[in-house]
Amino acid sequence: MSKTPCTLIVAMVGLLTLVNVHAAPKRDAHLADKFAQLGTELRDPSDVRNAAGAPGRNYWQQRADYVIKARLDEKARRVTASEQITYTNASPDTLTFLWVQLDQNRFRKDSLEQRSLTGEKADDGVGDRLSFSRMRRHQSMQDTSYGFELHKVADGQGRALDYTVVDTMMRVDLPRPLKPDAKQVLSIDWSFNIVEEQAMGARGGYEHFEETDNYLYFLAQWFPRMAAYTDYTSWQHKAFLGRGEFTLEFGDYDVELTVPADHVVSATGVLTNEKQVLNATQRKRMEQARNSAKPVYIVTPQEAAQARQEKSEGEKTGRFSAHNVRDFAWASSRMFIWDAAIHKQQVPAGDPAPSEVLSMSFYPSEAQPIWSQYSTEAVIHTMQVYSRFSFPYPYPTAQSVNTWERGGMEYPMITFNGYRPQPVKESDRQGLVDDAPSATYKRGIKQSLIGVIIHEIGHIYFPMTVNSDERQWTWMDEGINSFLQHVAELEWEEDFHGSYDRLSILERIGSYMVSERQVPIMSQSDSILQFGPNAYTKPAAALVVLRETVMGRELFDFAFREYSHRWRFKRPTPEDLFRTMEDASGVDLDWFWRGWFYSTDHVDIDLRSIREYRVSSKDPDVEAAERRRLDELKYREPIEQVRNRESGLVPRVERVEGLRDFYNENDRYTVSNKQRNDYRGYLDKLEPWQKRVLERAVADGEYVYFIDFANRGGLVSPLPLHLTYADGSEESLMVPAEVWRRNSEQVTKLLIRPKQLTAVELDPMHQTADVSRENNHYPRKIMPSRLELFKYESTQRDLMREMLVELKGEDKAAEDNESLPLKPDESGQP
Amino acid sequence: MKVASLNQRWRGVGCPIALLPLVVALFSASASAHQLKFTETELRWRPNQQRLEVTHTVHLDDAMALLAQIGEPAGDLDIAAEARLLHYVGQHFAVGHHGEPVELTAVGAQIEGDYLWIYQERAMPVLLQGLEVRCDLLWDLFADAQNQVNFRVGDEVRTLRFGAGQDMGRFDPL
Repeated sequence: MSKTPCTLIVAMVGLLTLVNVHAAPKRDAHLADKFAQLGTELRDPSDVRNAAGAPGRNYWQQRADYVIKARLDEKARRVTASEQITYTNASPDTLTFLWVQLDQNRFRKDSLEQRSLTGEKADDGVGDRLSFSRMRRHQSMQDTSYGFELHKVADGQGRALDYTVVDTMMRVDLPRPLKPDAKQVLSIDWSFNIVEEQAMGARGGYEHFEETDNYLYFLAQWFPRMAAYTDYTSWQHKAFLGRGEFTLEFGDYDVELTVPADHVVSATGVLTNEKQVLNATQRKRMEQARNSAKPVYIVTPQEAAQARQEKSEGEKTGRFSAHNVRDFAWASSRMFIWDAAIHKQQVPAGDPAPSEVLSMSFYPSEAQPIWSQYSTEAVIHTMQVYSRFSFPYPYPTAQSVNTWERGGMEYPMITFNGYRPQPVKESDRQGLVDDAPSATYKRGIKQSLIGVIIHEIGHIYFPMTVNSDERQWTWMDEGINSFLQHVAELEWEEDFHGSYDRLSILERIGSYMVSERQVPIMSQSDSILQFGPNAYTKPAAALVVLRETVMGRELFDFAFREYSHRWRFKRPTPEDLFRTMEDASGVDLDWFWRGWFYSTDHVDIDLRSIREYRVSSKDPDVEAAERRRLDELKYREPIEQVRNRESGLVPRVERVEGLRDFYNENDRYTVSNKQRNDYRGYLDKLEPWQKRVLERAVADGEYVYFIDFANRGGLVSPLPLHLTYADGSEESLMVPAEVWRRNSEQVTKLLIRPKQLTAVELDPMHQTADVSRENNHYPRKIMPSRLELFKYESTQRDLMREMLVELKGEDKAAEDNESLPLKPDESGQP
Repeated sequence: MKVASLNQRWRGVGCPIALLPLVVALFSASASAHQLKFTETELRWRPNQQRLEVTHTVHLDDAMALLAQIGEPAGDLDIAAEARLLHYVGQHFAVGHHGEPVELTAVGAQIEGDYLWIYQERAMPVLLQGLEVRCDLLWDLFADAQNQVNFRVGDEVRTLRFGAGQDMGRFDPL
């Protein structure tokens, strides 16, 4: 067998312009091998978490069961309560003390958060500033003493236990060490003054509606909760500074809530004493709701309006039971309108999830009309989409409560959500039609409402069920949840985020990813510099790229479902996600995790140049004419010569006889016998199979392209290409990211096609998060900037309000004086 | 309400110091887990157009608070609301060069998708290196607001971050 390497001799038939580009600096150039397997970056597998990313054979987690009795004192705006916590030590460790979270202590005057607040600068950048909101907060803390007042910390027999409060944490010292598999009962009595949420900036509190002097209470992080004790960080007892949220232990809750008799209560769990709490009409409506896929009012808007006026004096006690949850929150108000519908779901045999979920919304009239129209629908929609990606919704209720104007917060089975429409002021009613509604809303408000409900209900899956540790890795629940929210929004409505593709999650993340001095996604929550983009948007964008571009939907969805199932009601770490996605898909993703989660690189691939070739026959009689044709395409006759001829100048050899010779009749394209002999010699040297390859290649006449890519952003990426051919036909293909495995900075892709290419576009569907589209076309295209586009676009309008404006007088007159419709004569004849 | 001139003077040489003890914020910071309390600004020099384009981006969850402050809580951006937004940006964002103000011209504002976009520009025939930026956008609404300002020329980016009392910065040369 010949050892001579077969080289197809190719003749260059066209060299398109090379674009001169300067090299951009690579931020993570030290990561030389971007395809190296993740080694030391990952925590070692163990008996608790195995190498496949699943819970190991000795997986353990603690458990905390709660029995709570609480009373809401509306006059004093105060909660007084007692609880009994049964803490089960499932860890292999013996514990000499327990840590309990006291989140309300964040609002104490002497809390770490308060003491570490910094001053603000005035607008001119020199003077100092004290904002109204800051002063309001200060005054609120002057007027009311906030934080937990602990009345008793004892064991199950009522014997007092020693305890030490450390800011938002409390260490309870045990008289005897708590051995593995043993239980410890804590009995705690406490009270606290409820914060005014708007004044203090909190995840719970009250909102005061001044017009009718009514209150809406929403209570979260309101009881002493066991801190998490884990295999990876032992006690998670870092002080709560208001941002990094929390991770908790699963357990059962039995909670009695005593509230004013006319209040409507929404809470984690199931109301177990409907007869004592709801009237006969409400119970009847509840039965209807349990059989209705569409929301049914349990408390109508009229009844809620009436309750605002007639405040009752008595009290009632609702009893709520919740199984296997990691927290408990509730809301209470006489202003609540309440609707409910049933969501039926497919549950595989043996799965503990309920087949029916009571989906409910609670909102004051200020939230209308969008809440009754959208809230419960959005709750159900969320479960339908998220369950497809994970597991059946795990609890018997799913609730959305309007507790503020904007934003949202999640707890098991209950979410606090914002977004209210804008009331039409009396002064603005002039010019509106008579039956104009009392409030209108912009599309953005509606989308934000649906978006926030999807996001918060989505959190009941991640991290309320897949219990990742938000104080350690915020992105694990916020990033995964933002990704699924994005999926659910697009399944709610096309163009959910506006009608322009440049507004997609992958478009927006670019400006963050190109910035300097970022930290990778894989940073501890307190070290994150830009919380929103780092913990929410970038991981969500990464998962969109992973699903749509790298793995494909089938493999991604299967692997992601596997992750969800493996860690349902358990506590995963990032390694468990990374390992499971590879384990279940068979796709090596180490390069992807490395680039997106461990580096601050971004995607910017430059489609630098394309060189076109065809296979040469080397037969001089065939190739000479082709070479002449190509040279004529490539080069131009010198302009001086053209102008000489145009001006009538006759060259000397034409004017003077005897100057022409052989070379005037033959040029460099004339084929000589020597060339013909060389060609024969070349053919003789080829092996028979090489001859066959050459003959076939010449006969096929295919085009050969060398396409150069430069990786300007550092993050390796698949290369989705769109090819346009001279005959007008098109082709799409996906070059996998592994094309970069030997050189992550530049790569040349070889394409052989039967037709001639005229244009190539990189990432035409905008699916890689490429930050710069200017270098994605060959030949280059001019891309208008956002600012330029804005200049040509009309600004958004409140279509709803515009439609309510009365018809002008002349239009009304036209209606009165009906006549045949006329249209302009387009024939051009008089 | 604090009244400030639209032509916010660059804080630099000879700039008078205005001490205003109390600044009004009509809207108090509402707690919500999903406000990002974050603005992103891109300064982009476009050599072919000989222009500096400035685009401020605010997620709607944050922008609602800003819109409420300027009296447009429903997010209706008529021309007056756009002017108020640009006035706000003029008060809370400024560019300078060697201590002298680099005045920006207001272009407009729009809500599109999940974001509020505010645009400014100015002629810049030659790239000015070492631009200085003062930025405290949203600080009056959220005590812990953060800002990121990118200066982008071609593929190259320089970034400044603002927050926690830090409101001045100078870009490294590109």
